Amino acid sequence: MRKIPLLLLITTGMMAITSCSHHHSGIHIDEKKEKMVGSFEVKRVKFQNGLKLLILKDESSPTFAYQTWFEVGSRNEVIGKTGLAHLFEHMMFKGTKKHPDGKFDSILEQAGVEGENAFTSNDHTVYIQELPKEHLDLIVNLESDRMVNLVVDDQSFKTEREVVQNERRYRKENSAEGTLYQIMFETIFTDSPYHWPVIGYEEDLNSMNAQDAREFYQRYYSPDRATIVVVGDVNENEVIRLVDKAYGSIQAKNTPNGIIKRDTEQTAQKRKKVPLNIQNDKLWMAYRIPEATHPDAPVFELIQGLLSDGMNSRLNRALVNTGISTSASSGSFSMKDPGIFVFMTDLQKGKNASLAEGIILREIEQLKNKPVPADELTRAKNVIRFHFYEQLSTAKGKANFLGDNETKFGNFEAGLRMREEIMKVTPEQIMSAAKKYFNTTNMTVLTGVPKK
Amino acid sequence: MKIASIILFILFSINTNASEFFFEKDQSLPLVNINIALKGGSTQDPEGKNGVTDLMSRLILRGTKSKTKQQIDLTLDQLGGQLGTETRGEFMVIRGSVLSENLPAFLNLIEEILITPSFSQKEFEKLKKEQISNLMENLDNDQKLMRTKFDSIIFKGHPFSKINHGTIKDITSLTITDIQNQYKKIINQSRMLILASGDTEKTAFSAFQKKVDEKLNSNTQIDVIEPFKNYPHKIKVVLIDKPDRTQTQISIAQRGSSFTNPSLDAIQIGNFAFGGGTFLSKLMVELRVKRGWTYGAGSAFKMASQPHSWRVSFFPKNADTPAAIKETLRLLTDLRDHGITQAEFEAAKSSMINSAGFNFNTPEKRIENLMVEKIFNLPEGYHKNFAKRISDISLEDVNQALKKFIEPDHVIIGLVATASITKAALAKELGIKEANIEIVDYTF
Repeated sequence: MRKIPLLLLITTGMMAITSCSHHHSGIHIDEKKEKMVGSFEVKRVKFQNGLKLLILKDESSPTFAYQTWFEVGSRNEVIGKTGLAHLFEHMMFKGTKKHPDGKFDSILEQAGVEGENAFTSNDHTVYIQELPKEHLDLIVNLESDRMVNLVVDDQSFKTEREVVQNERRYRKENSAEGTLYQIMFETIFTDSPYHWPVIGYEEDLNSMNAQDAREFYQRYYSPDRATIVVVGDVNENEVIRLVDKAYGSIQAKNTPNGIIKRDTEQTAQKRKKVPLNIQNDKLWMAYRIPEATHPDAPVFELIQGLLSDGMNSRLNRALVNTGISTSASSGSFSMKDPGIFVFMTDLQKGKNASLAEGIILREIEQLKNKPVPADELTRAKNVIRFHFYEQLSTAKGKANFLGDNETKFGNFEAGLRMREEIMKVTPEQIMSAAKKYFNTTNMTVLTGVPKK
Repeated sequence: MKIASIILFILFSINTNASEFFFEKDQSLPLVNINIALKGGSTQDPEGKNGVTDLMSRLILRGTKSKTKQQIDLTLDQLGGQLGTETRGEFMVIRGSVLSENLPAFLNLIEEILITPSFSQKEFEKLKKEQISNLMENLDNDQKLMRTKFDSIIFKGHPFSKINHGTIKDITSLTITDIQNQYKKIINQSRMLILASGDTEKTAFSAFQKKVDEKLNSNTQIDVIEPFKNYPHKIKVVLIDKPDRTQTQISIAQRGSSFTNPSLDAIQIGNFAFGGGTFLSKLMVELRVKRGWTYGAGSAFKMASQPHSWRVSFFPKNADTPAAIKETLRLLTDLRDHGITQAEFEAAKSSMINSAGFNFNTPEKRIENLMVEKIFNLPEGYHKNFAKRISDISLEDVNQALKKFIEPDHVIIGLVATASITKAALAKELGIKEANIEIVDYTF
C-alpha cells in the first residue's frame, strides 16, 4: 500500500520525564530522562543565541546522525519568488570563505559521510548527514561555518538554478503524481503560501538572481531559527562543548516571519478533472483541517490508521480487496498552518474514479454515524504502534522524529504527548471530528484521467 | 552475529533438506524482523509465463487452508505486524516485522502461509487484475518505465530479460496450475534462508524452522542461469517513445561483472570516482555542477550470478539531451583510456573505506548482507571485508581494470523521451542515421 510521504506525527508514549536544568556560559541545559523506547534519552540544550540542540545517545553503531533543522520553508516566500527556499537550500552546498566550492562535499565524503542531503518543505529546511563517530568535530565546524559564512556566487547560482529547473521537470512536469500534487495545493489554498509548490514556478526561478539568495540567507539563516539534532554514539558533554565553541559566537538575527497569509474558510466544494499521461484514473480527495498543534490532530492520525494503515484497514477492504483500486491511502498533511486530510486511490483498469469517490464518501459517512468497534480501534492502534517503532529503528529515523516535532511543536515532547493522545482517542472523538471536518463544502476533489 | 546451523556454502549445492537459520538479537526496540529468502526469482519464470514467481509469492499471502485473505490481513493488523514479498531476478523474499510480544502468533501465521496456501481461484483472478493495473501504473513514471523496459530490451531472449513483476501479456494467460507449479519449484526448504533480528531469543524460531523443514518440498531443482553473450558490437540507441516529455530519462548500459571477477573491487573504485553516487563524482561534476544539465547522475552495477550490466543514468531537459549523451560517451572513453587521477583515486578510496561501516551498522543491514552473500555463494564476510579489500588496491590496479572493463563502443543507450522532439537532434549529435534509432512504444 502506498503511503503518503508525510513526516509522521506518530510519536511515543511511556514518558517518565525527570527533568532538571542548569545554566552556564549562556547555555541552558535541560536533562530529560525519557524512555521513548527502551533506554533512549534525549538531552536538550538551548544556547543564548537561540540555537537549540537535542542529543540522543545510541551506542548501537560507532556512528552518529547530524541534522540541522531551520524554521524556514516555502511558507516564508512571497509571490514572484516561489521556490527560493529550496533553491537556496541547493546553494548551501556551495562554498564559504574558508571552504571554497566543492570543499564541503569533498571533506565530508572523504570522512565517510552517509546520506548527505537536504530537503525543503513548506515549513522547514533540513540538512542531514551520518558520519563515523570520530568526525563529530568536523561536521560541527562545517555546519556552523556555512550557517554564517556562505558565499553566494553569481555564476554558481545560475548553474544551480538550471539544476533546480531540472529537478522541477523531474518532480512535477514529467510526473503525473507531481502534477496532481501541485494542482491540489493550488486549488485548495488560494491565499496562503501553501498555494505554490515548494520547488517554485519556472518563471519565478528564471527571474531570480544571486542577490535574492543572499538576502534570503541574511534574513532566515540564523541560530535562533535552527535546531541541531545529534543521534548516535557520542559523548553528550563533548557535543555540547563543540557546538558551543562553533556556534556560540554566531549572532541571532531574530528576523520576524512577516505576515504569512492564511486562507479563509472553504465554503464550497472544489472539483477538477486533470488529463494526464496515465493509463488508469487517479482520485485525490482532500478536506481542510486545522494546523498540527490543534487538539484534533491526534484524531486524524487515528482516522488514518482506521482507514488505510494495515491490510485490513477500511479503504483497503473497500477499494483494493474488491478489485476497484490498486492502492488506497489517506493521511493528514499536518503543518504549521491549517493543512489538509487527503484520500488517494489509484483505480484499476476499466474502473472509474467516480466509483471510488462514492465508496470513500460512504466510508466517511460510516465514520460520522457509527461508533468504531473496540476491536477495530485496537487494530488501528496496534498498527500505529508498529509504525512508530519502525520509524525509530535507525539513528536517522530518531533524528527525523526529534527534529520534526521540535520544529513543528516548539518542543519534541509535544510529539511524545501526541502519541499518548492517539492511543486514547475514542469512537466519539472520531465521529465528532469526521462530522466537523469531512463536509461537502470543505472538500476538494481531483480526478486524474488518461489523456485522450 | 550468530550463525545457527550448517556449514557455509552448502545451501544450494547439497541437498540437506533443511533450511538455514540466522539470528541477531537486538533489544533496542520491541520489534522482530524476519526475512525468508528463497533462491529462484523472476529468472525462473518459464517462457511465456513472466510474472508467475511474483504472483505466486503474493498469492500465498492471500489465503491458507484455514484462513481467508481477510482473516490473514486482520490477524496481521491485530498483531501489529506486516508481511510482504519481494521478487528479484534470482531470489524472492518474504519480509515480515512484528511487535515482539506477538512473535509466536506471527510465526504460526507465516508457517501456515508457507505450508498450506489455499491457491484460491477467486483471489488469483483478483490478484491478476491488480497486478496488470500495477504494471500499467508503472508506465506513468518515467524512471519506473525505464527500469521495467530496459532489461527486456538489453537481454532479449535471456532470463535476465524477465521483468520481476511480469508482463501484462504473460500474466493475462497465467492459470492457477502455473502458480501451483511455481510454488512447488520455488518454495523449497533446501534453498531457504530464514534470517531474523530483533527483541527475542533464537529459540523462539526453533519450532517454526522444524515445521517448515518437515513439511515443505525439497526435491525440485531450479534452472541454471547461463551467461548472456549478445551485448552489442557497436553503440545501439533505443528510444522508448512517450508523449509530452520535457525531460529525458537516459540509461547507458554495457556488460557488467560477476562477483568472482578478481578486478571487481578495483572497478568499484573507478565506478565510485566516476558516478558512484557522491556529489563530487566525475559525472555529477561534469553534467550537473559545471553545466546544470541534470538534477541527478550516477553509475552503478546490477549484480547477478552471471555478469549483468553496468549503467550510467541521468535526466536532462530535451534540449540538452543530445549534448549530454555525447559528453557522457566522451567521459566513458576517457575513463577507459586514461582511468581516474591520483586525486580521484585517493578521494574515492578514502570515502569508500570510511563509509563502509554504514553498510552493516544496523541488524537489518547485516541480515540483508548475509542474505545476499548466501544467495550468491559469496565468501563469508564479503560485505564486512569490503573496506579491507579496497585498502589493498592501487591506482594502477584500478586503471588497468577500467581499461579492460569500460566499453564505450559497445553500449546500449536507452531513452524515455518523445521521439518527435528528441530523435532527429540526437541522431545528428551522435552522427548516426535516424533510422538507426530503434523506437519502442512506451505502453505494451
